[in-house]
Amino acid sequence: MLKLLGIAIKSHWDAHKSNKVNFASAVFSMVINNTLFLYGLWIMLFAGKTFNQHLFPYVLALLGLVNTTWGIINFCAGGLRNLATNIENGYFETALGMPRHPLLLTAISASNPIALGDILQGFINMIIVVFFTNYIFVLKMFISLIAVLLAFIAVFIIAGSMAFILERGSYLSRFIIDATFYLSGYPTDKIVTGKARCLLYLTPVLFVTILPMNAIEKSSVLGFIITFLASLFLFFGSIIFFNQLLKKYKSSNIVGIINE
Amino acid sequence: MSCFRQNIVSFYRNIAWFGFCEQLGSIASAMTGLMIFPFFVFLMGALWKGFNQTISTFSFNEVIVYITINEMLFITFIRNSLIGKSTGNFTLLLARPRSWIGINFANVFGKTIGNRLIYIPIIIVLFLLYGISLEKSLCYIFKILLFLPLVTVISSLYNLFLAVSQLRWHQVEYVVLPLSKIFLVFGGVFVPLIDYAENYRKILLYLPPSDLFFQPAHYIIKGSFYGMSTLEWCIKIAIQILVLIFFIIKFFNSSKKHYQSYGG
Repeated sequence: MLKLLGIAIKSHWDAHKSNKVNFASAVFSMVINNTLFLYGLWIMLFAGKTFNQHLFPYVLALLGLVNTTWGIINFCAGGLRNLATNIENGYFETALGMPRHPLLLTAISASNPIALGDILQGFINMIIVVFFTNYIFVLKMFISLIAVLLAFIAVFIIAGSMAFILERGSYLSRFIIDATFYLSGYPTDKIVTGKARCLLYLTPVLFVTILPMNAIEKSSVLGFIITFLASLFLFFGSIIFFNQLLKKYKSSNIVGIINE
Repeated sequence: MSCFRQNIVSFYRNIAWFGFCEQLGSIASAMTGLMIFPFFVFLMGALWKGFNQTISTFSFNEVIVYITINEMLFITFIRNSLIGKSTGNFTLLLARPRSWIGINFANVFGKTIGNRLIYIPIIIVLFLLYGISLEKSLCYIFKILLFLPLVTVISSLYNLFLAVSQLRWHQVEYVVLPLSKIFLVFGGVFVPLIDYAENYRKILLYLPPSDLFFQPAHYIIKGSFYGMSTLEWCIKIAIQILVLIFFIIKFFNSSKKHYQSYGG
């Protein structure tokens, strides 16, 4: 499985490299975009507001984790984001007749060059965090990356699998993925209070950022163990969920697609 | 002569109307945006409450109205799909006795207005959910509808500007994301510019993004523009429109000279 993943990443990399100008523009534009967003957050929430500035390293770390994992998934397994669309439009069928798991084949079927900009920006954020905290904090971030990655992949799989049971499931899928991304990219755990906070804990954001960031902040070994177990649980749960719903898969015929 | 002019106006009006109906007819295409919209309002409202409430002159409900208006304008501002569609018919439309710029402007304008109107029912529901009275909500909606045509003219011009740039340089899709981020940050889309630190606020109020997002929302909520008269705002908007038109025509003429039709 890992060998296949490696081959897919290499071939996508070669494909991106074949059009260097396009690739460089994509990465550069994403870095600019993310830098502007970070700068925007600074002037909107922190500049001139000393009472907020203690939260800036937290926001930086949060964006570092989210950008890096989002970038890794979209660059190395970009097909996951299109899972629901592929199921709806019939492209998923090509993965069914292969001697590998269809989820893996769908995941490695695409790679988004722009996502490399997210990875770069994520690492830049982590470097900046060092100036506000210490090396141990960044080390803990790197360890948490694996948990965040697993949790994010699980969200992609669960959201994409919705297309097996729902018509137009791709809209719901895109909504779940985007909502998780946006909610994870802001310090929701610090700003949402009351009943909304309880609702927040029922969303995947709990696994993607709240648990990992709590473990990093509190430096608790137990916190890290819980975070990793929760992410593993969600990850394997999502694969079981996918396998169960795969049994309900109905292939579309061209008349059906046209009528939709 | 007047009959000819009437025909031209009615032609472009029909194009805009067609774009408008097309957008309203395919609400599914805006579905993800519609679903994510209330989430954003909730999230940005919570963000403002957590970070800026103590220093702001806005009340929480006013900020919800502010974010809702700006979010609606921003989600429908510059879109790659509109730019792609505008450039797709370039060669074909050059052979017609009508302006390519005019046809595409009318089409983008109609589509953007249609797309923005789709959000109005959700906005009313959101206002009511946040405890804003129906009377006040309808008053806000009325003011939004007053601003909508003018603000949409400018956003259509930005889309058209990127479309003609795409004709000239072939690929501008990677510019769209950072450009929209500039408008988001400098226009005060999520946080009113009043709540920015003074040194930033002073500069940003002079920049075009604030005239498109912050000032209209401020007028709708507070009944006046911030730090300028209505006439001053109108002049700034007129200058922005003229500059955009100038560059659109310039780039369009340049594109015609350099355009290569692929395929054959």
